[in-house]
Amino acid sequence: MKDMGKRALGLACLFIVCFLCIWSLNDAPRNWCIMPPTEYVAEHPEIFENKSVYVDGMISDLEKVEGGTVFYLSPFNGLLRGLKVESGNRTSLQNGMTGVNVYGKVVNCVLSAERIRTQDTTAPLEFFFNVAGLFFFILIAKEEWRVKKGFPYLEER
Amino acid sequence: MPSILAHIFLGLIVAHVLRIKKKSLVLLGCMLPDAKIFLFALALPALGPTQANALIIPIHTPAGSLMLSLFVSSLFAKNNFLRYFKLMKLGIITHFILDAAMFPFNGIEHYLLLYPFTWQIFGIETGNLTHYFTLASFTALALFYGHKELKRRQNIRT
Repeated sequence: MKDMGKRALGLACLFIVCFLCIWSLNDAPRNWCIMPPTEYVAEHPEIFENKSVYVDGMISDLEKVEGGTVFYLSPFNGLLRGLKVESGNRTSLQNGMTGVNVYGKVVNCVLSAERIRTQDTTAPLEFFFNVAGLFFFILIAKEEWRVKKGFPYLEER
Repeated sequence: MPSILAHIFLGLIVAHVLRIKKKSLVLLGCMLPDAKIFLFALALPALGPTQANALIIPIHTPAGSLMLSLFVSSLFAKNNFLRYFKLMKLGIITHFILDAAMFPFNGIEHYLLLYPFTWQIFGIETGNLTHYFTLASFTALALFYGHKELKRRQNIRT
């Protein structure tokens, strides 16, 4: 009977997570970067410092980026920051820009080759870490299987 | 996410420090929030990137991950349900500590610490600290396991 209760609790939790996922389809902030009115922000960067702004745009605009620096407001401290964008490299661009458009309010700022504040060169490194991490995870699971002759957690069922 | 390796290393370090025997449960907790990737891959062809991204947000929040870990615990453990849940919970906490310190920002689901009560994000800006942490922990663990393996081989010889 106790087991049934635990399983029911587990299933209820799974159901709630599924419900939240479906709910967030409509409710979640669109977590995509938005291209700003480039020239305007480049001319007036002070306007965007320490402020939340609304800018219209679409994700498809990302395709048009040919390199330069993406400026955006840090969602945590409101400082203007910049990330260098490789020409035609969508991934590094997304790394710098997504999450900036927080709740559809704080928006990344501008693409401009003139102003370079910081450079983002971590994308390939992160890829390496992810692959290495997966490899390491499999290695640990394999070792656990070898040492304990199977996963004891499953056998305790 | 900072990187899978960083999450695993922090989980391993915490498990070592707290002398937890069932490290794999802590590691499972470390990886559980990133189970969103599977859902994303499934939903991507049907919904497209924007909608698929919105769909996975609840899984990668503390509340969603804790509920998932309750579900996983209920599958695994007959008598140790709460203990297994606690170990997974520890892994989840380490996961969100790293995520909240991430830079560059990579998706708001990493900072929605109080979801589903609010969409407000919480986090700390630490520069590339998580990457340095990954490198440092990689070196430390390689040394640790290398030393352990050396000792084991010496014991076998003697």
